[in-house]
Amino acid sequence: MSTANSFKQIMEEDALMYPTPPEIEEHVLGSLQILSMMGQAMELYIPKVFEMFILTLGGTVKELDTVVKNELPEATPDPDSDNTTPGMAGTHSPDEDLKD
Amino acid sequence: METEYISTEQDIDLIRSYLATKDARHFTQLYRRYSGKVYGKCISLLREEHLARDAAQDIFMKIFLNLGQFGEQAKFSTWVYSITYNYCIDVLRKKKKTGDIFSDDMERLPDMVEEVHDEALLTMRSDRLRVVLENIPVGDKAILLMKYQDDLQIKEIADMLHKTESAIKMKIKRAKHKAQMIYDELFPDD
Repeated sequence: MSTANSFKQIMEEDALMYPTPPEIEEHVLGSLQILSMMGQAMELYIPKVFEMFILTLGGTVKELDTVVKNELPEATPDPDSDNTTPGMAGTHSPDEDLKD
Repeated sequence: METEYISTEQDIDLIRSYLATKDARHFTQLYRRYSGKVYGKCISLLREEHLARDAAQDIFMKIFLNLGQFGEQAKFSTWVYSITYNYCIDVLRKKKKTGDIFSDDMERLPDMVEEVHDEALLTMRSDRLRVVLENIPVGDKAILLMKYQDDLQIKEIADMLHKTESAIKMKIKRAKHKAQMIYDELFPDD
């Protein structure tokens, strides 16, 4: 069976005759960088905007605490929890257990 | 070398890496892999360099913005070609102020065209095939490029153009027939 394919040959010839203009890459990859930076900036500032929104609506400090707590990484101890890990900062000090 | 390592990665790995890390280098690899093919297709269909340049930019922005929605059921190349063809078809439609360049009107005509064997088209001299493709309607040209240049399956073309598989088979048959007729007219001595 013949493997000749003039359609593919045309495609190869076109690639040589019409190389992709470099300004397309500049435009596309430049836009990509700008959009990525905007995305990162939004990730950074949206929580702050959310806090401001709560304050504007008359939110309380406790509500803000809740927002902040929800954003903390899992490994971060919860300062209001009684189930703190011994040795970690918290309201329930292991020294109190020793006193008993 | 990191660049060489990345350049051997499969498309899907590059997409997953980009979506996971948002590292522009992964998308840059995809861009460099497909920019020539996309631009070539735009030139081939739109026939004007400035239109092709604008189209290629818009197509890659569409690809970038919709990368998260890429379903892995299809090959990435098929998805890229689908966006490219649909974009170019849309540009031509607006430019010529015509309706669907793959209009169903032809489907109402009786099926009287003779079957032209693939070999007849595939083995045409490339310079002659180029002339033939310039002289058939752009919808026919596009459908022949999808089938014989991009190796798209009938189902993939049907999904891309929102037509039935039988309609696509008929369109390909008619496009081949038109191409052969034009060839016989232009090169009668062959």
